[in-house]
This record gives sequence, C-alpha cells and structure tokens, in this order.
Amino acid sequence: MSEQSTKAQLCHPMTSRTPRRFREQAVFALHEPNLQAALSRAADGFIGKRAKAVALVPEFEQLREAGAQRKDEILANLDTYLAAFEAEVTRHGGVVHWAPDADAARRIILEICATANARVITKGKSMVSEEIGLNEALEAAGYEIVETDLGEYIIQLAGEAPSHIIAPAVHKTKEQISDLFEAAHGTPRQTTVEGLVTEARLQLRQKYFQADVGITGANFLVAETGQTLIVTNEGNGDLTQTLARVHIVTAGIERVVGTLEDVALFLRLLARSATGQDSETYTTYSVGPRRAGDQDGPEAFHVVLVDNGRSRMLDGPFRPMLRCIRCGACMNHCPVYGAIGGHAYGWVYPGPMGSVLTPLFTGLDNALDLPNACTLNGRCGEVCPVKIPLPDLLRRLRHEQHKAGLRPALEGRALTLWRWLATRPALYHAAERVKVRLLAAWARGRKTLDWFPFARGWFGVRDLPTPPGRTFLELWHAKRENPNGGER
Amino acid sequence: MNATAGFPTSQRPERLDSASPNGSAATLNADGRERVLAAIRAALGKNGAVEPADPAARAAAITPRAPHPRLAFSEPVAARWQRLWTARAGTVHELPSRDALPEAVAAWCAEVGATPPTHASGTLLDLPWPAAWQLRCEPATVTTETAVSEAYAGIAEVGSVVFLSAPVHPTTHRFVPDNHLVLLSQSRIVSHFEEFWALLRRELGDDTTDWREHLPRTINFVAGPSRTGDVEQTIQLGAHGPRRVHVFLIP
Repeated sequence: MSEQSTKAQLCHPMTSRTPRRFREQAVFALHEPNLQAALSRAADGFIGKRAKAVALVPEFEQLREAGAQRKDEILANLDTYLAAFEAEVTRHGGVVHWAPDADAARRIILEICATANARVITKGKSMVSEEIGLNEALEAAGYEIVETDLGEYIIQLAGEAPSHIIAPAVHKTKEQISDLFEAAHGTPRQTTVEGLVTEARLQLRQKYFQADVGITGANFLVAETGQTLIVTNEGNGDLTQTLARVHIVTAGIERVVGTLEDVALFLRLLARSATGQDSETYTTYSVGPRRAGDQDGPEAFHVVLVDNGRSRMLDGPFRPMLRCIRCGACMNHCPVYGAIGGHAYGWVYPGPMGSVLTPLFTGLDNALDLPNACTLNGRCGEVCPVKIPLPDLLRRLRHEQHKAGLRPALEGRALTLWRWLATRPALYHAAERVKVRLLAAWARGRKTLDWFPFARGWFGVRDLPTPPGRTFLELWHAKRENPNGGER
Repeated sequence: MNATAGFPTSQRPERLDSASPNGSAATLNADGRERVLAAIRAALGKNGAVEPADPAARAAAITPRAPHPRLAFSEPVAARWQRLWTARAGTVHELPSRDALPEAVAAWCAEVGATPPTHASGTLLDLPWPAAWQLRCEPATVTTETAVSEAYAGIAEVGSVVFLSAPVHPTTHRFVPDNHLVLLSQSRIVSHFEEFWALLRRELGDDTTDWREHLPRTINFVAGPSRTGDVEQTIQLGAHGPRRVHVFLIP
C-alpha cells in the first residue's frame, strides 16, 4: 500500500485528527465555545424539522419498512444491479470506472482530469470524495479545486474537514464565516446571513463558468436507466455538472437502486429525514454527455464506482450498514454527536453511522473508542429511514473488539468478576446490601456524595444522591409486607 | 467468517492495486471491474455468476416485485401542487392561455423590478414577445438575469416542476439566471413520482423503440428557488441558483 493511501485510511485527509485520538478530540470539542454554540443551535433545528415533516406522513413507518426491505433485496444481488447500471451508462455514451480502493479511485480521476487538460475543477458535495482523499490528490497534482456547496466552500477556506454529512459547516458560527470570507475575498465584511450567501454566490459564479471538470457525488444510481442523481437545495451541483466540459460522478457501490420507482421510495424517506422537507429544491437525474443538438451540458460523462471496503461489509453481520442513504438523521438525534460535533470522530463519517463505518473502513483497532462513545439510548435506530439497527451494530463492534483481544485486560477481568457475582443472586443482593449501607454511612447525613475512594474520576463531573441505606428490594419487600407503613 | 473477518486492521496490508499509476483510465477500469465484481460475488456467496444477457431478464432482475407505499392524499392534484409550491417560496400566477404569456411576463418583471428575459425555451419563441427583449434560445451566460422555460410536467406529491434537457430546452436556463419564469399546464400536473415516470415512459417510447433510447441527458425536478441553510441553519433563498422562480399556470 502506498504511503498516501495509508494516510488517507488512518487520518482524516484534511486534518491531523484521527479516530485513534477520539478522547482527546472530544475533550477539546467540549471546551470549544464556538462549537458548543453552533451545536446547540443545530440540534433543535434538525430534530424539530424532521419531526414535523414525518408527522404529516401517516405512511412513514410503512415507507421505512419498504425502504429497508428493498435495500436488502438490492444488496443481496448488488453485482446484478451494478452491471445493469453500467450497461445503461454505456448505452448513453458515458464511461463507468470501477475502483477497488481509494488509491485506484484517485488515480482514475487524476487520469480523467489529465486527459481533459483540466486546470480548474469545481466540486459538488460528495462524502465519497472525502473518503478517498480526492481534494488532496488533485491539489498535489496542481489543479485548482473549488468546493461549491456553501458549507463545503466555508470549510475549504478554513482548511477543515466536514463535521456533518449534510451540513458540513454546521460547527461554524456566522462570525467565523464572516472572518473567513473577509480574509479570502478581500471584500467588505459581511455580517448578515443574506450578505454572506450573496458574497459566496458572486465568488463562485465565475468558477462554474471557468471549470474544465465538474465532480459531483450521487445520492442514487439507477440500474434501469444508468442515471445518477443528486439531491440539493443550493443548485451548486447542477451548475457544477452542467457548465464544466467533463462531468465526473463519484459514488459508493451501494448507491445503486433498481428502478425509478425505487428512487421515488427513497426520495420520500431522504428529504424528510435529512432536512425535514417534503423534497429538497433540486432533484437531478443525469446520464451520459450532452445529446446531439443539445446546446449545453458536459461533453463527457464518467462514473467512478468506489468499493473501498464496501464489498467486505457485504459479507457478515454489518451488511445492513450498506442500506444507509446518508441523511444524517442518526447524528442529529445522537446526544454524543450533539455534545462534541463531527470533528472529534476523527475521520470522514461522524455520529452513529460513522462510529459503525469508521472501524469497518479503517480498521477495528484504529477506532476503539467510537463504538463505545454511545449511550445505547437507541434514538439513532428509531429515526433511521432504512431501519439500520445502529445500536445493535455498535454493540456488535464492542463484542468484536473483545473477541479480537483489543479491550484492556482490566476491563475484561472486571466484567468477569461482575458476571460471576451477577449470576449468583443471593451473593449479589448481599453485596448490594453492604454497598448501600457503606455509601449511606460515608455520607454522614449529607444528601449527596461528592467523592468516594477509587472513584475520583466518576465524581469529578457529577454527584451521587445518597442511597437510603437499604436496597431497592429491601424497600420493596418492606412495602409489600406493610403497604400502609412509611418507607422508613 | 472468523472472529474478525470483515475487518481491515491497520496492520494488515491493503490489497495492492496491480495497475500501474501511469496506466490509462481504461486499463484501470478493466482490472477494477473484475476485482470489484469478484469481491461482491465472493461476499454474497455467488460462484461464477453471470449477468442475464437479454434485456428482459435484466429488467426483471432489478425491478421491485410490488409497488412501494405512497403518500395518500384526497386533495385535487392541482390544488396540492399549488399549495406545496407556494409553501416552498415558489410563486404562481394563473393565465387563461399560452398566448397571454408575453404580457404576463412583462407585467411580472415590472412588478418585481426584474430585467426582462433574454433567454427562452425554443418552444416559446413563436409567441408575440416584445422585439426589444431579443429573446433567444441559447445557453445562459454569467450575465443572464432572466429566462423563461416551458416545463414538461408538475408533481403534486411534492409541489415541483420537471424539465427535460433538449436542444430547445437548455439546462442552464434553470440554474444560472436570477429569475426563472416557467410555463406549466395544469393538465400536466401528475399526482405522484410513479405517475410521472409512467407518463415519461409512454411519451418517450413507442411500439418499436425502448423509451430509454430517448432519455434526455438531464431531468430536473425543481421545487422553488435555490436555498441554503449552511450559515447557522438559517434558510436563505438564492444560494447559487435562481432567487425567484415564478410559474405561469395555464389550463
């Protein structure tokens, strides 16, 4: 494996963050006031908008069930769908490229750009291009890369990675964006949302027309027609793919669906789950280069299908993760994501879906903390539009860590001891009786405990209400024997 | 699968891509295709599977067995379309007929203070436009401020309009100008996405040719003006595409 691909696999390509340093990064995030301000604003918006949109659709549960089932059918015959997709792209004059890994994907795209004599490359939002470290490879080859999604443009100016899969700059405050624009554009400082959006519009407008190559992602690939879909609100992806001479689509192999009716099903789920809208502003289906007589549109059309570990996920218990339609609902509803934001996760995909994908893509031992940074409250699984059992998959990853001998020895011994005790009820209850009495005695009449020997870490951030001196079962039995008596 | 099968580990070497970095995209492609499909088939436990060769078998293999759930609604399609379209900041004005379009466009431009259109769908050029506008069917340029398009259909389910790319329907008209004016017939508003695809298959295909032979390069579903929520989740219209999208609805 080349050095470049090792780096792309283990660190986020745009930062020195890595899933290995999750704890450090999470602590940093918790103490970053701008990030905390941005996160608290974002969470309420996303959750409320989704809830409202879903409440208007009594069929939503049926749609989720159908979406999960249909994805499973497609994944079980993924080769057939991809081959059909390829045949249709070819029929319409496009070229399909198959990239087994990130390195191959980068080389294919570099080759297309070189052949096109490209200089300026515009890009729509694509998480796969983040995953394969595309921007760094293109920059190293001397191309001018312009991210055109407003959120991606902001973080490109900041030299950062996206912190959310659908709202890449969700961690930035308006003031920070004003600073970035003022420094990059040398124009008068804009302080309103409208002013900032207009400035980005004017800056990027020129770039669309200068671009030689336009790169977009794909929300879906349609096997029936060879079409690739992008779903956006800004229109940047459409300007990117329509005005450049060459349109390159990057997509994971699991983006493929069967027919246009399948797309209808997933669109019903996607917009409501992602942004709480009935639909996004623009849904665009494209296949092939411009047709004979067309006055605009690209002259060449390439689709780069990226495996990069996905075929490995097909085999075994993590296959349901490939149902993911990248809506971001799981992270919007995750209390851990809500507290630390996306960057702390250290790689491309944050939140619950990222905590499953990162170990699967980059190595179980490379992301030990991610599956454990979860309260198992289950909200991610409840809102997932394709019913991915995210909490189960996270638990499964913890189990795999244990089986692979990747957990600390002390943790294993402690759990073994606990199991020994918990499977002996008489002994367990006796131990509990000792514990609550000890804690009550330690409190010496105070209502809460603020420290206890060997538990400084736990008490460092919280207090424990003093136990009543008897266990729950003792209180319960006492109450049953004497229902009218007081508790004590 | 064994204990940690399915996981890469950072120690385990990645499979090396055998193609040379200087190889052409075509050679990378040939090698990659075989490897990706082989990996998928191995993971699925399919041994030596071959693809259905004839189009009918291929179509059957990728088609869902039953229709998917839809949103039920009792509202008339035109009413629902208009309600959702305007809820997404799209505006609409009903016209008695297509011939009334030039006058209505002039009135709209005067009302909102927009520059009159310079670009239009080729199918609209036969209308009596003011000569001063020099209306033409060409790709929009960076200075194009207003364009007039003829929509192919409308979708009541989500309140959107649909455009097909064609020599007389440049795609740039829907994304480059500040103002996008759209002519839509009420009779072309369908209820759900599925009805739209049925309509398209019917109108593009015929007894002897597969409808997909006539599939345009681009099909755009547009639901109102361009918008973004990327600055502090505040919805702002006019991110990169049109700031105003106004529909003239004819029967």
